[in-house]
Amino acid sequence: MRTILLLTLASLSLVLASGAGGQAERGKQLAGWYGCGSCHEIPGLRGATGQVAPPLRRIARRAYITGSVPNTPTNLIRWIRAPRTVDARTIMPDMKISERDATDIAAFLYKLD
Amino acid sequence: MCSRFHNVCGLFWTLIVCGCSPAVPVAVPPPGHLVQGIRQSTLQPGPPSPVRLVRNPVEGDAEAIETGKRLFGQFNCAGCHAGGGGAIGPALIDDQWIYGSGAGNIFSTIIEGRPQGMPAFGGRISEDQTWRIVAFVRSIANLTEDPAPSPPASGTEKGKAVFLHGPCVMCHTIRGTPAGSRVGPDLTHFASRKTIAAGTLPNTRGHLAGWILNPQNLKPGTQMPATLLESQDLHALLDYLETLK
Repeated sequence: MRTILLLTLASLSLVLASGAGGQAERGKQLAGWYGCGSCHEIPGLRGATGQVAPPLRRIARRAYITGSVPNTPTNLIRWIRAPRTVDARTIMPDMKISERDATDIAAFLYKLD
Repeated sequence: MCSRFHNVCGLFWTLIVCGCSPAVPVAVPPPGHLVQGIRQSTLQPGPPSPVRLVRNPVEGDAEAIETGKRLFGQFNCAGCHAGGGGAIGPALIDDQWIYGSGAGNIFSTIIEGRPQGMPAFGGRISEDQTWRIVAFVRSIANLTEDPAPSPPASGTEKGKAVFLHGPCVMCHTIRGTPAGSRVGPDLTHFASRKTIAAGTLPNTRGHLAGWILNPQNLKPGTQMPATLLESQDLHALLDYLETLK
């Protein structure tokens, strides 16, 4: 019983360590394709010098995202996929990003220093 | 000093207007009611204010068109455009519109002026007078139909209205709509393009949003100005542009 609990905790911390559990490198390419960098400044992403919306450096350390919801992987993925379900008045467009792509992008974002 | 200058200007225009047409007095507004043109400057305290969608309040109104015709003569539009057939200035009765044929376009052209000869009338004409001239010009060009159906039926229709009544129409063409300006790229088949911003960005919704909202940051020196749309207008505009296959 104790072993199972430890194993569960270990796997949970692994998931948290890798951010949202996605593939960060793939997420980086997707962020470039979808165009996150045209509005956001993202360190390490070529051409991502956007000055429309907040810079995303060290986003993993923020307590809240979008000014309204706690910074959890679930909330971040939801925000990336369907921003207006989180904040109806946001300027951020719905880019029709799949769950998998959004998870990978979140993984990439959570690794930003 | 400033108000004295305005008083002198007001008197000047009163004299001109009354002098030209003593039989038909046209109200010249006090300086406070004058339409000021948009000043282009590199200095700006923060981003420009959100875009106001424009519609001619007197579009197609017979009395307004008649007054507009008189004002067309009084402000000496005919000096360059003749009766509308064109002389030194372009013809206004054909379907060639360098700066767009929408009511908002013509309004801006009158207020801001255009390169190579069209003076800016901003500060010298009232908003009401300008709209009446716009109504007249559109009537002689057979453009009596207002291109903006209201209220818009769907997101795409709303986006089209944002395009046609916002600043996009000042520079871009979309064939089959009143947007006919040749200053910027033709967007008739925009959604079929693979890239935007002169080939520098993939044509995806995210890049497009960033490009519309702040192009100068992505491509310094581009002629495309920043367009600060309300969020609902941006989403509708993106929906519309994506239909232009």
